[in-house]
Amino acid sequence: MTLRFGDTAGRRCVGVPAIALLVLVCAGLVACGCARQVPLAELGPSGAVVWVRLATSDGEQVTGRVISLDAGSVVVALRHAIEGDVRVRERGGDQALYSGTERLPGQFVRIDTDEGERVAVVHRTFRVVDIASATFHESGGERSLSSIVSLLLGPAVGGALAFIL
Amino acid sequence: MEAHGSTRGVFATVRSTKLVLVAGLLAGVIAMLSGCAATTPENFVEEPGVTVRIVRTLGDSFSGTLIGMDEGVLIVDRSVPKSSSITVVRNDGVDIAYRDGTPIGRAVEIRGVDIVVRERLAFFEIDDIRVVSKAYFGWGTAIAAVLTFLLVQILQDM
Repeated sequence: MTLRFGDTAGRRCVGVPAIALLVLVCAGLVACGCARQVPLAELGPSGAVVWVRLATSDGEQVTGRVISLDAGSVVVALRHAIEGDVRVRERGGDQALYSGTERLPGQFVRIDTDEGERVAVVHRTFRVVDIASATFHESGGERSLSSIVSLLLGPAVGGALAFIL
Repeated sequence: MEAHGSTRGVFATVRSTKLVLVAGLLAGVIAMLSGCAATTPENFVEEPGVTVRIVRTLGDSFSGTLIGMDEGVLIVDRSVPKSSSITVVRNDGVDIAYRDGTPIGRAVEIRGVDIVVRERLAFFEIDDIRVVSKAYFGWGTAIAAVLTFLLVQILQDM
């Protein structure tokens, strides 16, 4: 049986698939937000997430979120679990992260909770000339959401449209 | 005639009810999986690669995948359409892509219509570099929608 606009039964039930289509489109819009292009030098406040795994010429290896990247430096947000000797101390009105008596490099930003554990977020600046190598990575959440939308939403919207038209 | 029309109406109602259920289920699945995806901000994809848009100081711009940084230069994978001006020459086991005889980078993948070229770009060669974020709707989504549309139309006409 084919539903056409000239068909009384078909016309009667066109409204229902139309609502279904609207629900799908709304779900897609809510889930996805809007695509945007963010300058690499201003990633921090934008909400766009880029991860970096870098090795310095001194042999130090760190992994964190890129806050900004330009010709001179890379600012990376690092997360340190607050446990054992690692704790946040306040001296002279400034908060800093310490491991034992040694102050950890970087600017203390805030304390987050990660799976029930407290972690300190520190912004650390690396000079580009001090970086031996680095790789940039996409957020896992963003990648999986992209797959979900491509696999489910496209066919769902196409199928619903075919019923309506 | 009236009975026939009534039967068609029942079939149409059943079909539309099924459609609503399937659509509702899909919407729910999308919402749930989106929630799962959104609640894991502290993980990242192991394979390097971030989609970027680059404007060079020469004035041209292109989309590519930012792979990494090595000795102060950015490493970007870029799709170059196959043409008579593009040649790939293997040198010591490494495929080098040339445009009009000038090396443009390492050919990391040779596909049907294009070649993925890994270029090394110094910062002074880049005027602007932007990360493409939250671009979930791509050509894949559109093609999947069109194919499903056609498939359902064919099934309805059978």
